[in-house]
Amino acid sequence: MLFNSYEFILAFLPITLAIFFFIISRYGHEPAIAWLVSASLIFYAWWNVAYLALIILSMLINYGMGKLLAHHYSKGTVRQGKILLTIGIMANLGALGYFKYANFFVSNVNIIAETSFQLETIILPLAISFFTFQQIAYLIDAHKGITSEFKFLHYALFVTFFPQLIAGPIVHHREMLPQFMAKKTLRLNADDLSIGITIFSIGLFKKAVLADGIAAYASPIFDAAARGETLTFFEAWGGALAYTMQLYFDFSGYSDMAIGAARMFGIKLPLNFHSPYKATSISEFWRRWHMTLSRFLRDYVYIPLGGNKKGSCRRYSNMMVTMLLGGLWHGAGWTFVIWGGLHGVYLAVNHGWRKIRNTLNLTAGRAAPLYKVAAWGLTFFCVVIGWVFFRAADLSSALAILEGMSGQNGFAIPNAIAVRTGNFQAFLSDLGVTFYLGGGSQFLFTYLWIIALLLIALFMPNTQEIMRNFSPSFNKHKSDAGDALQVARILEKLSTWRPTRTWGVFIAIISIFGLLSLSSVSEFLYFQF
Amino acid sequence: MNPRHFLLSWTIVLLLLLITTAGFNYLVDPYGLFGTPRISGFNEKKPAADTRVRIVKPYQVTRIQPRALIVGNSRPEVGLDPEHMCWPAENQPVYSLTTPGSSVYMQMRQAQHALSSTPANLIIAGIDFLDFLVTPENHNDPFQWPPSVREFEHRLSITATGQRNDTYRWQSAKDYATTALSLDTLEDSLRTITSQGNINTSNRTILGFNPARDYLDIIRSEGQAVLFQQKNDQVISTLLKRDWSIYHAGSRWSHDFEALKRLMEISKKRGAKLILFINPYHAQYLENIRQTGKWPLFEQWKRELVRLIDSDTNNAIWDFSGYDRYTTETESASKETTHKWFWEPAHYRKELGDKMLDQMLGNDCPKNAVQAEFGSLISTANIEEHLARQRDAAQTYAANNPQVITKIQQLVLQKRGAGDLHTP
Repeated sequence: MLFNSYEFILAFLPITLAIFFFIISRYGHEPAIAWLVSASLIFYAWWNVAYLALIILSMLINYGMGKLLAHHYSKGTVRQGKILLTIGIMANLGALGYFKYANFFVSNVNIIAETSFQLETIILPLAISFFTFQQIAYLIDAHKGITSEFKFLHYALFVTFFPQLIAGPIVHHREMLPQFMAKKTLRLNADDLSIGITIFSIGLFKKAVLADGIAAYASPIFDAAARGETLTFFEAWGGALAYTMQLYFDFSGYSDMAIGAARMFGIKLPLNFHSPYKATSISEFWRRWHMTLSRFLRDYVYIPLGGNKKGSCRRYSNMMVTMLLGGLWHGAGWTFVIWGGLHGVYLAVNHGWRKIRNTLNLTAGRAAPLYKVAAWGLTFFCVVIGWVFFRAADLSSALAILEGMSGQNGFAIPNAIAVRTGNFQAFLSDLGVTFYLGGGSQFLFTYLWIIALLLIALFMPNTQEIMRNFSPSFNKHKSDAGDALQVARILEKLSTWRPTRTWGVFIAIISIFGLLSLSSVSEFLYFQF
Repeated sequence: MNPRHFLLSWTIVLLLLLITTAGFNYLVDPYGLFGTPRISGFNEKKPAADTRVRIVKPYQVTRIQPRALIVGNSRPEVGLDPEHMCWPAENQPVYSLTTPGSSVYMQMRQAQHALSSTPANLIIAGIDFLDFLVTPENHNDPFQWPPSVREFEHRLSITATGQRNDTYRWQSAKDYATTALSLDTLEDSLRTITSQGNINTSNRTILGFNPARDYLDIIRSEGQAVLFQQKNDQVISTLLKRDWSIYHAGSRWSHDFEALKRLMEISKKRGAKLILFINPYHAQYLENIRQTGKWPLFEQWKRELVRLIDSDTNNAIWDFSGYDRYTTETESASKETTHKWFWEPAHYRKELGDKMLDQMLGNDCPKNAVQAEFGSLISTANIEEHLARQRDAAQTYAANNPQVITKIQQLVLQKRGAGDLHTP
């Protein structure tokens, strides 16, 4: 069931909430948790009942493993614990590898060894990338004695809690369990309900109105590239930028909806998104984009590899390995590996530059507007180039788009627009711009959408900032003024949410836009990962 | 600052907005789905109907309850007027159940739906060469009937085998509700109101006709030559794209012929009169077919058609796709003047459609209607003679219009040079 569907918004969410609070007031805590687990499993099974067996099996094994690990920790038998942990991680990665990467692996073996092995088509179970990582983190935390769970029901809720099940945020057991256990959070409460509705509505608006709105201008370009068509400068940039904005509002909208839906139950999820396109460096970008994944990769890949503790050479290679794995996590394909590798290089350059800057003592100018704008421009440019690989169907279509973006295939604008520029047309023609028939409104709307959404992404406060007085998420993002473009004070002040009648009217308008856009449903991009 | 105040005002405003939106969309009815009365200056023209033809027309036809149908793709939708004077009085109203870009199968299924839910007993169906092109590598069994269910069929009251469609009610309820409660509809409602002042706005009449006056706006700003060039471009690309055939591999039959045959059978069973015709093409379009080497295929297609139609004496087929004074009109270079008979090489104007209806409905035409000499009735008896005449006419046209021939030759060369294209 998609968050942006009639079934979810008009039936599943209100019914689940109503029954949950009814049970809690009548029968108490544990039965309510049991209901929430059942509802979450129904939510998951809605796609495909066959998935259900896999997730339940996965939970049972990991729960058992976690118990044993906790036992070893308390007994001090660290060595046995470590062996067990290794087995546990391998089992999780093995399942993920089988479902997600087996076909990719076999097809590459075939190419290299010129063999022709065939696998049955393996269907990727929804959310497996997310619940695998979440459970690996749990095992490691249990091994370290950071967390432990003695009730399967609670563990099941930690894994399946429907707002975060399908595409994150990737939560930690230690963040969620205390909340599930606290008597006072799980109670119907007008505060949480109004905060949840607001955050959910903003997310729905981002997804259904903005992301789906601009998608129509991104997909045709990437499809054309996949068909091997030649793209000119403005077409290629239009497609790449439109996708850049689509992905942003799609995932940011999804994350808001997850946080909002959880909040209606009184649960705060960790922050997953914090205006990443405002970042003025790649490392800040990664502190703001898919934050719970970055956090996972940092804590469970980068730091165990040695992090920055083993000299700068190791540091860069650790960074590279982490980003390559991060790329591969998004999908079994070389375009994702390249995307990850590209970001690994970006990060290395970023850190190298920071080092040079610190040695030469150039930090003073960091907050200067010109420096900031240049830094933002470079960062954003690099991110857009990365998204081309991320979105493209294959390497050759990614290269076709980049070729267009480089201007190699010439500059062309629609004839319908050129004739309306009057005398300017001759000037354009002298510059080497050519004109083509048809596609006038497509061209115009592509760029209008891009500009409008870019303005929102860069200058408007984000959901967390709007809700700043009501601790919208489990954690906060901290950065200083040099790290990112800042929201104007006046906007910040005007947009601070309060539970008043006026905000009720305003959010109702936002909600209606989202609701009225449900008639054309589309999946979230992050569901494929 | 009280969350209860927030929740209360949110709920009330949300409900109010939902009701207002649905009411407004219903009143304006931008796609003609609800059948709300059309008021001049408010919602008479439907500029947004364009985008929903596939969804709306099957519902419209059951509401209008026509006694005659026009069936086909965008060509008859633009060209044939349901209010033409030659339609017999007992066959009024006439509804144009035509859908742009529809396959023969879709046309047949929509007609089947209309025949089962309206009193229509006369059908005029336009058939089109490009709709019958298949790739030889298509191994589908053309005799397998019905083919797997397509999405559009949920909106038809009966299934391909003539059974009642159980999902129809649910689907129509869903279509009505999601159309009323939709942001896209709201946007289109506003556009509908603000576009009423533009006499050339895109439109679908209450009888499903597309007056296509939006072409006039394009002609005024860019000129009709641009429309011709764009269409020639498209047609040549399509014709060169694949190694086209009219038969599936290993047979002398296709899904499209099968669908046409079914349409004939269904009409016969219902006692409805079916008149088939081949759409007229501008001579430049015919030249596209010739230059891309598809002329023999075009002829073979007509032979196959007459063979199919002759097997059932009840039906007739008119061929308007020849060279004559209408289709060979030279294109005007100026932005001020427009072609009299064609919008572009593929779409004929109502003026030409009127001549066609004069011919096809001849006996029922009022006496004062001037009988035009246009098109010919073809059958297995006269097909070879007819084809030979057309071949000669093509030569004559080529001899008289060398500059058109050169232009199209260049386009074809250019497209062939673009690579990855099959040579015929």
